Amino acid sequence: MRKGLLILLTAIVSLTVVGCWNRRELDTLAIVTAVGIDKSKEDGKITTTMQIMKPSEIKSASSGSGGSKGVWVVTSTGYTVFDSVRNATMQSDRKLFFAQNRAIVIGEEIAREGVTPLLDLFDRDPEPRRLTWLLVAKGKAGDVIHAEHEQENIPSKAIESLIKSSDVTSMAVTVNLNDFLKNLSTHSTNAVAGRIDIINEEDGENKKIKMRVTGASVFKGDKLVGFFDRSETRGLNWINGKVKSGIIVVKSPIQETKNVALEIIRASSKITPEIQDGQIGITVEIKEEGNLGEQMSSLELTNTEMFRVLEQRKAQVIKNEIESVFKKAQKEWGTDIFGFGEAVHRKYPKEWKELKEQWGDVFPEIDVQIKVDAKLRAPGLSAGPTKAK
Amino acid sequence: MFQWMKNLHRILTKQDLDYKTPGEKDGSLSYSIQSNLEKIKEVFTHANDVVIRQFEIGADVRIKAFIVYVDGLVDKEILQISLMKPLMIDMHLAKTDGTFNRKTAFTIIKERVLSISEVKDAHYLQDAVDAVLSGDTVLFLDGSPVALVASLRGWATRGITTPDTEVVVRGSREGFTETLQTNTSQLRRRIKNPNLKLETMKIGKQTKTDVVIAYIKDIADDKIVEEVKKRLSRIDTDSILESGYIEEFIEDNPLSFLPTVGNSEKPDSVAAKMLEGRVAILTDGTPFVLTVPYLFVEAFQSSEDYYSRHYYASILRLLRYTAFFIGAFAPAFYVALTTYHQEMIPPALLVSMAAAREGTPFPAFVEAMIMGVIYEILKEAGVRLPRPVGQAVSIVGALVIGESAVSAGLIGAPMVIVVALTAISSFVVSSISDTLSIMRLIYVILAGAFGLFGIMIGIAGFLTHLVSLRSFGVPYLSPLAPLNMRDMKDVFIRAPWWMMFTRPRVLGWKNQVRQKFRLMPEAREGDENNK
Repeated sequence: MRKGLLILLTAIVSLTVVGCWNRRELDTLAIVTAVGIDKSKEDGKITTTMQIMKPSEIKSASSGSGGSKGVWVVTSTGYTVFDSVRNATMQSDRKLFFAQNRAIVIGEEIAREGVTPLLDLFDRDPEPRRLTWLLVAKGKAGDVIHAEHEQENIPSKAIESLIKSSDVTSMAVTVNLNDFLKNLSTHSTNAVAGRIDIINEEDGENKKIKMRVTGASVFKGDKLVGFFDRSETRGLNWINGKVKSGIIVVKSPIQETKNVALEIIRASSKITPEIQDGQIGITVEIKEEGNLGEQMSSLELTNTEMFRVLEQRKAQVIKNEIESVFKKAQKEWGTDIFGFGEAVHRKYPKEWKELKEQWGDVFPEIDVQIKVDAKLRAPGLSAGPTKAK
Repeated sequence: MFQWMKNLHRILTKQDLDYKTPGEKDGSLSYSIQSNLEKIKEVFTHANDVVIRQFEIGADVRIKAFIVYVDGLVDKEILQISLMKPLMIDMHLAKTDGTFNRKTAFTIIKERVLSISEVKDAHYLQDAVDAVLSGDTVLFLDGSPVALVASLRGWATRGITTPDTEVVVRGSREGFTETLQTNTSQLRRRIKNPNLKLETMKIGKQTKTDVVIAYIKDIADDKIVEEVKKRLSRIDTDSILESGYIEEFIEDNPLSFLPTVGNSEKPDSVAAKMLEGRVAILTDGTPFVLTVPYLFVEAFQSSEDYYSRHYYASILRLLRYTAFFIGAFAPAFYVALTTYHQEMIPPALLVSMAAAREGTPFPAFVEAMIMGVIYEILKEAGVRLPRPVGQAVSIVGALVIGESAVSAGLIGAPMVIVVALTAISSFVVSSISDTLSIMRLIYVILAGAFGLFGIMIGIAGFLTHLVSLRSFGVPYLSPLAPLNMRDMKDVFIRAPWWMMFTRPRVLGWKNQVRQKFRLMPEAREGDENNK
């Protein structure tokens, strides 16, 4: 009897007294949805810009009175990322909560000095996720975090959607923290990250900052070496086999002034390394299939000869895109973002042991062969050109 | 300090309580009618519903006699026609050839005069008194130490109606009634087999309630039948007014919050359970019939499952299991997620949940408790109140609690949704909805204190408890634990009837085969169109 009472008492006390110590109600949390990291004006300091969700605004927006911004942007400075994030608590009455963070944006300037010191917190702390998207801003990351979006009242949601929807153009690189850190930790592959641009729109007095997710930011080691534009990025995606869809524009074989848009349906790539007499050669084979999506000429294109010509032109475009990316990454920067090192490692594990340490010097000298096999399949619903009579 | 406990102990251990049963078993009846009459009158003092009618039988040889019955328990018309009239008028016509005298009177009357189908002898005063109280009419004759018990019962009863619980769309709409005989007859009508055994017991010193143990001899396990009898005869209490009394006296684990004795109001489902090897306990005065052993999976079975087509019945089964989990865990999960594991909520959902939580004054845990209590109050009010008022309660509940509390910002809208969902879910598994209420409370407390870890600890504890339970020696969680694949055909799904050719192993192992093995309907032989 007394024993039972004691157990009951212990249970009640342990539930009520020590329980709830780690309790965080939803309305005491400042849910961070995007973080921007920049170099501070003060020497040796870091500025973080955080986009924090304002649930009450989102609530009122959905009930009709809306139009207001659904987020609050906080900027704070510190010696490290963690320090500056903690300093933000001086402004926010709620505890910063990073588990729902969608994107980490790093400013161009600080990225050129190396990103590993900045990402340590996101790797070490249990709260942030490794599936957060990683982007480098062309310009200041803080401006990206401040940017608005017309459709979404949480701009970071728009960033995420933009990254995800880049599949339809294949002109952006989508990398999350996990992929990035994985690539950083190997000898055989250099890292790339997404790129986000800021567009300043001036409409009379109204100044609007908008953003665009396109291209790629290229790293050598943990330091940013430069950016890819759209076609270079697709060149990279061709090699990595990450092209899902997109449009290839070629000149019409009949009327050279008119354009023809060819839609990419599926594509794959194969990287084959070959070591002969100490010389490393890489063959990149691209297989692509597409449909005729649109043509602006007024003449018939849907016959076999025309299709053959279109296929050749398409293959040439793809080849050009790939060559442009090699020119920059291999010859100019000497950074192996294509995973060639990994391919060599897999095929020649013994040789790789020697190559590993000097890969950075060997890579720019590699001879790369590009083979493109482009097919054109369906002409669409209309057989002939659309024309007025 | 423990003085009050000592007192209580003294009271409880005091043998032979204040009341005495009227008449001892050894109180034999006397040859003298006068003495019998006095004894009867003494027993029934101040009981003005007991009628004692004195008269004489016979023309030449007159024998004194009297009958005793309880007014209201006897069909008076039949009493007139088949007892009073033969004794007082037709007796004169009986050709007794002068053999009618004090010694032979009893036999002659019993065998030749009374046109009553059911008569018994009562040798002891106790038996006679019990018979009178049960509604029989007892005839005492002068010079006979045996009283004649004539069954002329007839009292106002409620007819067979559709039960309020266990409503079905398809299937028998008959329900049990408060009258024991009606109930046993309903079972007999469904199982026309001499193997259906109905054994009667009387329980309750004051109420002397008739309790019938019903089972099918070839199917039910003898050990379980014996165990039921043993446990029932153990009950030494004042009164049995409802089968719930018995249920609590015979449970294997009386402190568990899970029921280990089943009950049903429907003869067809009780018959079906008996045909699987269970024992039914029918109690006079209640339409709720107990069935033992009771398995956990029975809470998810409905009689209609077996009557409707098996595909949909199987979906409904799975739905009930889902509803059980929602009913038990939804509020706890909500509390755990919003107070500890915000990272687990999908982003889009988090936005709207955070928006709804904005500005609410109470923590999610307190909200869950408040809403839980309010729901229980509403439910109770809805059950107790007369029907017309009950509607008002639901309007108040739906509008005031649901709508106004949210728009006033007292309670977050998701919590209202969670509680409403929980409420509806727990109605789906109505037979254990009271258990669900308790489980829900425990899990909400655990979730509020420890988050998902608390819920997991709770689930582990609950499962441990489930597997440790026995109902009349049968594992409560069977056929899930111990696992029996053959019986799984009637757990998460309801297999077609032609596939369920065996009874549940733990219950009907004595006579396992229910039907022929290959009963699946096939195309007629030689019918080319039907292949």
